[in-house]
Amino acid sequence: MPNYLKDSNHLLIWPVFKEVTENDLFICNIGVRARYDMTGEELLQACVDAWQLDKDKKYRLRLIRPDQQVDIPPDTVIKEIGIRNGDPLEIISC
Amino acid sequence: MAARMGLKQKYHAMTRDLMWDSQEFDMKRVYPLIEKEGIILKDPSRWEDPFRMAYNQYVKVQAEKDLLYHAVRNAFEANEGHAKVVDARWYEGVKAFAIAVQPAEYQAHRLMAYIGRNIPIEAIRFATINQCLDELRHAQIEIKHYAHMSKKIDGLHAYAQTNENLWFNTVTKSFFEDALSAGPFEALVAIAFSFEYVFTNILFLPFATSAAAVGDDNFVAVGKSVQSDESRHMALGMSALKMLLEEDDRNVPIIQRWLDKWYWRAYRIFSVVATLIDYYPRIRPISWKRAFKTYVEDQVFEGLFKDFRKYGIRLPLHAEDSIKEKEHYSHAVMRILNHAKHVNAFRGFRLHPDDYEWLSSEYPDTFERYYAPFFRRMDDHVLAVATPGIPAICTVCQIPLEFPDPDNPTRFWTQYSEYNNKTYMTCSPGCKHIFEQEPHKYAQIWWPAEAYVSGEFGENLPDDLFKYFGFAPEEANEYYSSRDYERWLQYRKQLGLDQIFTGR
Amino acid sequence: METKAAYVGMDLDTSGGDVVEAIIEAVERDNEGVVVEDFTVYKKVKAPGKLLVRRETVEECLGREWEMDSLQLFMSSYFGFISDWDEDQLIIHWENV
Repeated sequence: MPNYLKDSNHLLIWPVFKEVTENDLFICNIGVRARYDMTGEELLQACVDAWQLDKDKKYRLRLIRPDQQVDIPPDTVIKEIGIRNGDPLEIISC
Repeated sequence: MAARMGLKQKYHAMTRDLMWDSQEFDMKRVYPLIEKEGIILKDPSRWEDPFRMAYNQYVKVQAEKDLLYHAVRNAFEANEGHAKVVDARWYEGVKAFAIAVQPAEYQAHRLMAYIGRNIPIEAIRFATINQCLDELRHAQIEIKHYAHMSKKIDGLHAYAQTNENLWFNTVTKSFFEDALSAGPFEALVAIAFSFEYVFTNILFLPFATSAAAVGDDNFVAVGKSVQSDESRHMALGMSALKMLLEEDDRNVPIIQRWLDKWYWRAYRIFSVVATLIDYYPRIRPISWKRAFKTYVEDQVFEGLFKDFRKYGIRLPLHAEDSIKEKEHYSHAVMRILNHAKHVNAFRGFRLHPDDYEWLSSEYPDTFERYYAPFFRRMDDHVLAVATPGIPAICTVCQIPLEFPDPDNPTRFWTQYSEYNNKTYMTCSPGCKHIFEQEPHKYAQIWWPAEAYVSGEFGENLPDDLFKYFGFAPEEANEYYSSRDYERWLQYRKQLGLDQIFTGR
Repeated sequence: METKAAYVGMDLDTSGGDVVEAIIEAVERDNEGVVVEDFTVYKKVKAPGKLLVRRETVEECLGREWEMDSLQLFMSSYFGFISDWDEDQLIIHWENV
């Protein structure tokens, strides 16, 4: 059975557009494919595409952990940031 | 002539005297699970099943029930019953029932066999073997019901495949797999008590009342036939629980832990039932909120749990959360179903003015304020509320993570846990607690959302999933814009049921 | 402080027709504070703390012979502990009253 996660450079992350968690739409995190060698900026673009958000607007990405929330720097490779398979993320309008 | 035996003696003669202890083998090897859960038994033979059902009587009673059900079903099918319901969106709810409940009945029969095999107490054995047969009977009469429905209605024609593969159904499957992979006493508390005693009443009694109100006599008969066995199942759950509590004080904390877990587990699996009561029927005799108050708060919390105080048993840990959630439950779950209705075997639907009116009057504090704006978004475009991708689900109950915090209904209730260098999400404090008691168990779940996004069933999502689910995209989505609704209107027209006669 | 005893009771399938009507009438005769709620396809009959069903009373209300164990054909649900169920009677009760 084909599986994206068989490649050790591959992971799935679960972003949610923060705005729809605070209005009546109330849609939760969705699954998005990513690679450990992506930069924070590339990861943000993948999330914006998956959510079909307005590309003219600016967003930032935040990693959600049980004990903390971490802003994802655009220039760093996500493996170095410590992002893991299954991580929930928030897309926040700037 | 010998004196005729009374009910009690007859039952004893036909159950108690049939067991024997193995001469050749160590009893611990014959019953390898009996001591594994820490439950201590001193003299369980004094335990009695109040129903005292012997096999000959069981067969006689059950045969009568089946004959009665099939007579109603035949009449309903022959008399075009499907055309006569007040609004056929009801059948979308019956489909949810078909996909969630029938496999649960089947799994419950396996579970009862497992319990009976592993607990060598005669009365429990006899009650579980009866219930095992009951559950198979329920599974079969329900399948018969859906076989006819599938002639008229989309979404059920590859029934076994859809049951096996549809994302929605992993909710039910994970519940029963959780119980089947627990020890036999925990499984007994899970099913006989939490599932049967606390919640099945809400499933079959108010839902059957709704069926009668909308004119689905066939479903009324299914519901009544199934429910007629439930008193016996409830008796097993209650008596078994009482026995375990009375056998030894050391059992009490173990039982409390299981009640904490399985109350919430069973409560979550019944979430879709809240929509079957509040949303799918166009005429509603009762609301989820009132049904929950009657069957859970009054009968279980105020009644049974007060009796259990003397053993040191308190209410399940998250009982209060479920009481608070009753104002939100059906609306939040209907919202989830509408997010994903384009990939589900039972459809969501636009609400009518009378729906808004009923929901507002029944839920004056929550519906208009927090939920009506969501449903109104669908007035212009039925997919205006669709999720843009494959939603994340709760690691425990497997429902998408879209439950609002009842204390703060515009905020998600989603919880996060760290285990083995991974973040796990759960839908609520109740599910988080269950996860954190046994993270090694829940970390092993097969996560459908992850498998879909990983491309196990094709690269083109969600379109490629339909082949795997066993139905076509046009069998999903919104009811009043569907081909099923058109067909139902045509069907009524052919029978002259579209005419309205009023006045003298 | 006086606390009200929690109800015990049964949900009876109205398909039982005159038998179910007779059971309800018998329960009303033999118990104090009985409440009957009508949910069309079933009726809930309840009493505070304890509920007794006697075969003789049911037979009087029904006008013919009736067997106690046939109650289970129509008893869709119940709440309380069943402490006694034999040829002559059924008792459902909570122990804390």
